[in-house]
Amino acid sequence: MNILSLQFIVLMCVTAAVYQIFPQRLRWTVLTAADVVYVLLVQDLMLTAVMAVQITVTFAAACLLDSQNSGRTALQKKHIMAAAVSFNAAVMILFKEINFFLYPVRLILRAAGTGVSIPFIHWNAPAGLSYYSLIFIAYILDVYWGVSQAERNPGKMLLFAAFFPILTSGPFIRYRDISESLYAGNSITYHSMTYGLQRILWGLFKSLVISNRLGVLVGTIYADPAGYPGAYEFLAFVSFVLQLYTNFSGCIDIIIGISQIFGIEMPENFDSPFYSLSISEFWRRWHMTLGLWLKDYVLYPLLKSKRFRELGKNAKKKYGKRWGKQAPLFAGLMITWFLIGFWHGGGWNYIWGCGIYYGILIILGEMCGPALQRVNERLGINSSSRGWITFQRIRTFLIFTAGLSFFRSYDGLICGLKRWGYALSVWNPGIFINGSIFKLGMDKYDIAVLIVSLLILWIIDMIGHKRSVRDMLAEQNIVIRWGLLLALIFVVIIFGQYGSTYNASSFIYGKF
Amino acid sequence: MTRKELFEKLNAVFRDVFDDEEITVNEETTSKDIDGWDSLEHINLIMAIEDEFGISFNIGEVTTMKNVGAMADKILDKIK
Repeated sequence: MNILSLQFIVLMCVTAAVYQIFPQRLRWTVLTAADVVYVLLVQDLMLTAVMAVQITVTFAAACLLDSQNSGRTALQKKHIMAAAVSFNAAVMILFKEINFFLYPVRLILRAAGTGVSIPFIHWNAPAGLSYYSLIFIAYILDVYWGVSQAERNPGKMLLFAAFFPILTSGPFIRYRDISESLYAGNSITYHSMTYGLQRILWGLFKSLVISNRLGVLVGTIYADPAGYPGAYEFLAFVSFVLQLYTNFSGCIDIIIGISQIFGIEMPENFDSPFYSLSISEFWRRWHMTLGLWLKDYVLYPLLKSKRFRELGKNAKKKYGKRWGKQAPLFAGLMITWFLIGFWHGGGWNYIWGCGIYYGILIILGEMCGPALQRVNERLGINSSSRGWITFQRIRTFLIFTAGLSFFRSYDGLICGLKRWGYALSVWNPGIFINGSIFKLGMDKYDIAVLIVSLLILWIIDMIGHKRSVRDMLAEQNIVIRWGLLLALIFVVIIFGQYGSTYNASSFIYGKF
Repeated sequence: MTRKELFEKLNAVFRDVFDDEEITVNEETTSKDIDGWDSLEHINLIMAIEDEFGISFNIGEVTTMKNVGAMADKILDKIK
C-alpha cells in the first residue's frame, strides 16, 4: 500500500477519528490496531508471520536483557544479544540480499562447467523489512548497553515495532527517543493537525509536482543511453539527484506530518543537504538516521573492538601518531560505507554508487584536508568568502551526482560505467537551446512548472537552512498564512502528476 | 581521585587527542566548543580516555554523554 493510495488515506482518517474519541490512556491501542490493519492489508499471512516472529524474538530478547532482569550473567546476556541481533540481520539478508551471496556461487559453478545454474531469486519481503530490522537491532543493543529500557507490554511493543508510516520508507527511529510520544496518546489539536497537514502538503508538492516530472525525464534518458548521449546523460544524472531528493524527502515529510498529527515526534532525515561544503558534511545531512544508525551500531563498535585497537597501536608504532588514528578509522569507514551500499541492495551499483565511492572520497578528504588547507592559505583564498562557499557547494553536489549516477544504473555497475562512456562520447550542449529537451516526455508547460517548482523548493530550503519556515509562517496573519497554504494545495491539485498515469510504487526508498 | 584531579587529567587527554595545548575543559564543555571534535574524533577521544583511566565504556555510554561533566561522572563511577 503506497502512502499516497486511497486505502492509506482512508486508514489514516479512520485511525485519526477513532484515536481522538478514545480516552488518552488507551489511544496507543488505536495506533496498534492501525498497524495490524496496515500489515494485514499490504502482505500475505506468510510474510506477516515472518514479521511476527522477528517482533517476538526482539521483544523476548529485550526483556531478558533489561537491566531490571538481574537473573542472568554478563556472558548469558551477551549470547542472547548476539543471537537476537544475528537473527534479525539474517532475516533481512535472506530476503533482500540473497543474490549478492549467490553471485560468486554462480560464477564458480559456471567456471567449473557443471552446467548447474542458480536462478536469480526475487522473494517478496515483509513490508519495511530493511527499516524495522535495523530498528530492532538498535533496540536490542540499546537495552543490552543499558541506555534503553525494554518494553514489557506486548501491545506497546507491537506499536513501536510496526508503526505503519515507518514501514513505508523509514526513518530509523530509536525506542528511547520515540517511546514517550508514541504512547502518550496526545490529543489531535488544531496546532498538531495544521502543522502535520502542512508538512504532508509540502511532501506532496515535492513528490507529485517535482519528483514525478523529473522521473519522466530521467526514465526516458536512462531507458535509451545510446539514443541520448552526451549532455542528455549529464542532464539525467543531475535530474536523478533532484528526483531522488524530492521523492525521498517528500515521502519522509509525509511520514513526519502524519506522526505530528498524532503528536509523535519523528527524527528528521534531511537537513538542507545541498548546502553542504564537503561530502562528509553532505552525508551528515542526507538520510541522516541511516548515517547515525551505522555510526552508533557499526562504526563505533568496530573502532572500539580489540582488533581495530591493535591495528591502531601497530600503525602508531610503525608510522606515527597520525596513522595510529587514521589506519583503524579508514578501515572502519570502508566497512561502514560498504554496508551503506549493501543495505540499499546487493548490486554493485549500490555498493559503489551509494557506498564505497563516498567512503574513498571521505578518506581522501581526511588524508588531504590539512594539505589542501595549506594550499588555500598560500593562494590567499578566503575560505569564508561567499564565492568560495558557493564553489564548495557546487563541487559537493557534482561529486554526489557522479556517485548517484551509478546508483540509478539498475542494470548494474558495468552499465553505469558504459553510461559514462555515452556521456563523454559527444559534445552536444546545444540540446538545451534547440528544443531537444522538449522531446523527453515533457512539453514546455511541464518544464516551466518544473523550473518554477524547483525555484520554490530552492528558496524554501534556503530559508529553512537558517530558521524554521513553519515558525515563520505561523508568525504571519491568518490571510497570508491560509493564502499560502491554499495556493500550495491548488498547486498540488492542479500540477501534481497522479491519477491513472501515476505510478503508485514510485517512492524510490519504498523498495529498499 | 578528586573531581579537580580528574579534570586535570582530562585536559591532558584532550590536548593530546586534538593536538591543541590551549584546550581547557569544564563541566559544560561540549563538542561544539572544541575545533575538530566531530563524530570521528569522538571515538578516538573515548578510547584515549579509556587507556588513560584503565576503564571501558560501552557504546551506549559513548553515544549518550551530553558534555564533559557527564563524561567525568561516568569515569568517577567506573574507577571507584
